[in-house]
Amino acid sequence: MSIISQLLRFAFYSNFVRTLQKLVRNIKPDDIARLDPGRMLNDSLIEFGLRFWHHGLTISHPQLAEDVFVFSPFFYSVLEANSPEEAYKRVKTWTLRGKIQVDIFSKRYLVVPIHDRSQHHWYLAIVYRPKFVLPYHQASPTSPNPHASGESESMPVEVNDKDSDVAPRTRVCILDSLGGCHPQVTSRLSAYLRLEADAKHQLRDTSDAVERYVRVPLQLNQTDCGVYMLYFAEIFVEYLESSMSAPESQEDSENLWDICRLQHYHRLNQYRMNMTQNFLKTKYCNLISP
Amino acid sequence: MSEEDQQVPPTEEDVKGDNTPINVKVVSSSGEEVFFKIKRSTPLRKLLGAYANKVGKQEHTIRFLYDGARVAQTDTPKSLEMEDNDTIDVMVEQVGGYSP
Repeated sequence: MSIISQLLRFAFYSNFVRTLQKLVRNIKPDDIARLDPGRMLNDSLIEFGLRFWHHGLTISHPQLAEDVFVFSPFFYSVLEANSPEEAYKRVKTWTLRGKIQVDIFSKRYLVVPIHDRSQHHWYLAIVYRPKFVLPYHQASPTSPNPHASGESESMPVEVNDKDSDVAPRTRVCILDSLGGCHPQVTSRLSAYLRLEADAKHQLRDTSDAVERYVRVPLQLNQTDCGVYMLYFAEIFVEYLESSMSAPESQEDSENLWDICRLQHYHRLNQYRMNMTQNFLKTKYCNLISP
Repeated sequence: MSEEDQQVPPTEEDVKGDNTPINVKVVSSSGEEVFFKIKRSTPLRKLLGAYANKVGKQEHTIRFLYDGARVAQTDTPKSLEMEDNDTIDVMVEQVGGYSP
């Protein structure tokens, strides 16, 4: 590994730890009490849960960790509450990490936690290969990641989609433990990607992302959607990484959850307990360096 | 729209002349703006307290975000390298489980 890539990885990692420790300082006893069974998770726990998972990836799967970008739980709320242009003005700087501009088109997975205010419900959108909204064969111009720029040759191209005979398309995968329908999510995220491509790369001729509903296990109570959401993010990103394509058929999705069905309920029960431990670990111990 | 001055005792920074107040705009998700003047060394939690008071909300239900990242209790405009006329987004706690 070259010195530069080591330095980049170090900067990436230390930013991470700082962010996590900051998040933990903001978590109050009231928030922690929400980890008890039967309580609903709030934005502070959702953000901590996603970022802790992402931090774990920097150690277990460093390359994958660099391909993931986790958005704030408030990001989609801003997109939803404003016109696309107005919303973009407000979130334009949200891709900065410690004053360093992150090129989201160089990432493979954009993780977007979504809060439905009217239903008090959390669900998840994962934008898979956002760079495919850029003009065809236009890899991210500022991508520092050789993995990303060589990807179109080395990865299988998805050609099965009826509306894309040639060009691979960006997917917005929606994972909702209530099995809800959210047609507005893909159009809002597509509008965001269009404006981001224009503002950061001066690229105008973008295409829209394609919506994909992923069949997921449904929640059995009225309190666990946040826990399901964290669980889905973890399993689904690992699945996409290992299969290198978004599930195209119902069968694919079923296989995905079949593999972990046995562990599924056990893991959800464990999740709340683990979150408490992760919180304490971040607060009182030094996190392990990769 | 309103303006408030945070009054804090002079610190070492003041003596060095590195603590001139900056203007900060706090914008809610619905776009309402409140303007504050704050010294660079003043913890932003004081601003959060003042804001919560002004809008009649409890402090623990309010989040300040700068460039989309949560502002921590101990952050100051200086530690975040904020500039004059910068914007802080204010968000309200989101809770989810599913309540039909």
